[in-house]
Amino acid sequence: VTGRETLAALRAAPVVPLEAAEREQAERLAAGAGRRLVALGDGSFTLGWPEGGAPDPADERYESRAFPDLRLKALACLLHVCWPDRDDSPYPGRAATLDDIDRVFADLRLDRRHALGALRGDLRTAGLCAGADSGPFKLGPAVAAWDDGQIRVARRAADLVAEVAGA
Amino acid sequence: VTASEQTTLVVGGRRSTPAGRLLGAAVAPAARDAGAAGDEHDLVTSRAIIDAFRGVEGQRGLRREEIAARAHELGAGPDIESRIEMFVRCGALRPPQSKKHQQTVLLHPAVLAGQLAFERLIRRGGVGELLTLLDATFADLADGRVSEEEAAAALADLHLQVQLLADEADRLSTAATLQEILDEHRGQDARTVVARVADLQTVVSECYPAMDGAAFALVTEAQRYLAAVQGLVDRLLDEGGDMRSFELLNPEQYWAAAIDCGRDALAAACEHLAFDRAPESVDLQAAVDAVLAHRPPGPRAARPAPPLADPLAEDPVARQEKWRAQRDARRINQAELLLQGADAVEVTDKLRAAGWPGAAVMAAEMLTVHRVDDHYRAICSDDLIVDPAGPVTHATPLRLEVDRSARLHAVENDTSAAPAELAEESAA
Repeated sequence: VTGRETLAALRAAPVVPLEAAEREQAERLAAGAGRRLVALGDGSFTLGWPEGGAPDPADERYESRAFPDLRLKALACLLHVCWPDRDDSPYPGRAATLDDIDRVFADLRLDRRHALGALRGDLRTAGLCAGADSGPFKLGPAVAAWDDGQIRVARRAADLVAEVAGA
Repeated sequence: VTASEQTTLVVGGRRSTPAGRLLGAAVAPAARDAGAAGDEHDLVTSRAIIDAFRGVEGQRGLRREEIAARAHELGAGPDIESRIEMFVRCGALRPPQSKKHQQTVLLHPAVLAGQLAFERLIRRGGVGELLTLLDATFADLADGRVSEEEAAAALADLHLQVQLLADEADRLSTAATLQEILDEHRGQDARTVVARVADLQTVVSECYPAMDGAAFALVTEAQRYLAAVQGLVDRLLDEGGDMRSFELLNPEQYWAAAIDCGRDALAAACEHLAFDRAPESVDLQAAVDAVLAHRPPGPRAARPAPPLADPLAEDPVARQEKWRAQRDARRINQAELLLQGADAVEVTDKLRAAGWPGAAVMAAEMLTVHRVDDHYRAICSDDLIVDPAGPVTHATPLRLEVDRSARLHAVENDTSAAPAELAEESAA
């Protein structure tokens, strides 16, 4: 497999396992293409952006899909539950059971059926949530590719869930 | 460079590539042999050799077998062994000073500088170096770091470089094939060159007014370069348009081709494009805002208590009859209450004391009591009592009578006696 094929595979699939030699080639080619190779810790990799290089969803030049509020709240709940140590990086975090998820949805009085649907649907497709339909739920590989700025905002979202749930 | 290395470094076939031609010309000042330069494939292998040293600690170095193994993983060609040997002979790979007896070698820092320069040359042609030199000369002049003689030498070099680039663009424009133009014109950036040269002329005029003429000649040469590149582009568009090549069409032709061309021609235009998945970039700030704006829904309104029994289970006609019987019983009871056991009573005072609308309700009840039991009768007088200050301003005297003996007889004969029974029931 050539480096270019590896990079193409990384572009096409969210997670790709790589050998050491493939990794070094892909790392160099990804850097040349303005991307960043992100290790997921289990021999798998995903493509991220260099620090500060991710497309800004607010930038009108990019067509990015805006998630409805309920999905954003479901993501914030997932971060709150799966990222207990906010001083650490969010990925891989900890796995959360369906009961854990249900509890925080109930604390926020979110519509359980639709919020769970968001975790199992759009958020999973976007690589933000991983796990089986009935749990355990985990943070997805896209979270591993967040840069420091994104992690800072995500931390704020997770902390807010804790405040609202405890209120 | 040995004969075998010359074979490896390729003199013939590969030199025909644009990158090979560029490298051959660029290496000439430092080469003693026409076969000294390779092409982009050789640069890939040398890049792999350089990258093999990433992460190697200080003076430890690498053995040749280690370099070959690492470089092979990094995409080096099959000639890796001979290239390592050539690197050693050129001094690009050398043993550590303190451990000359060891078999490990270290990478000379100049190798990476050369590698980067050649990579830049292939990527941007000579224009990249020209722009770098323009920037450096501008900065030196602006900071006062160069003497007048040094500035004059730099201007002369720049003038020659721009002149050569303009001549090359002219040559390509008039004599080269379309494919050659496509291969060679890469990296031409005449507008940037003209802008930087204009900036340089300004700073030269300020620092060394005597050199204004040389700076102006540089501007003129840069404009000639711009015109030559424009001629190159015009030829590309004209001939490319005739070939209907998507890479070479002007916007109007591109638009027409997009409408008229067949599927295969359209697909060919995208052969060299790489498509990324649309980034699923989630707006995390929007998530923060959503949680901040979150208001839990209020408690839901309690559902009304279910009826104790199915309302349809009861016969509505029977229920209506029962209600009517109770109403009739109430009228008889009310009449008896007014009569207080007597056979007749004047109810006018009670009527007036009931106020309004109580008086109207009472009068209506009494005037219709005979429909329930015809032994009762309400008699209206023809008089009219007017009391403007009272609760009832206009009242007709009303008298209530009952024929008790006839009623008693009727009750005894009527076994049903429903109103009376119901009256007792209601009273109970």
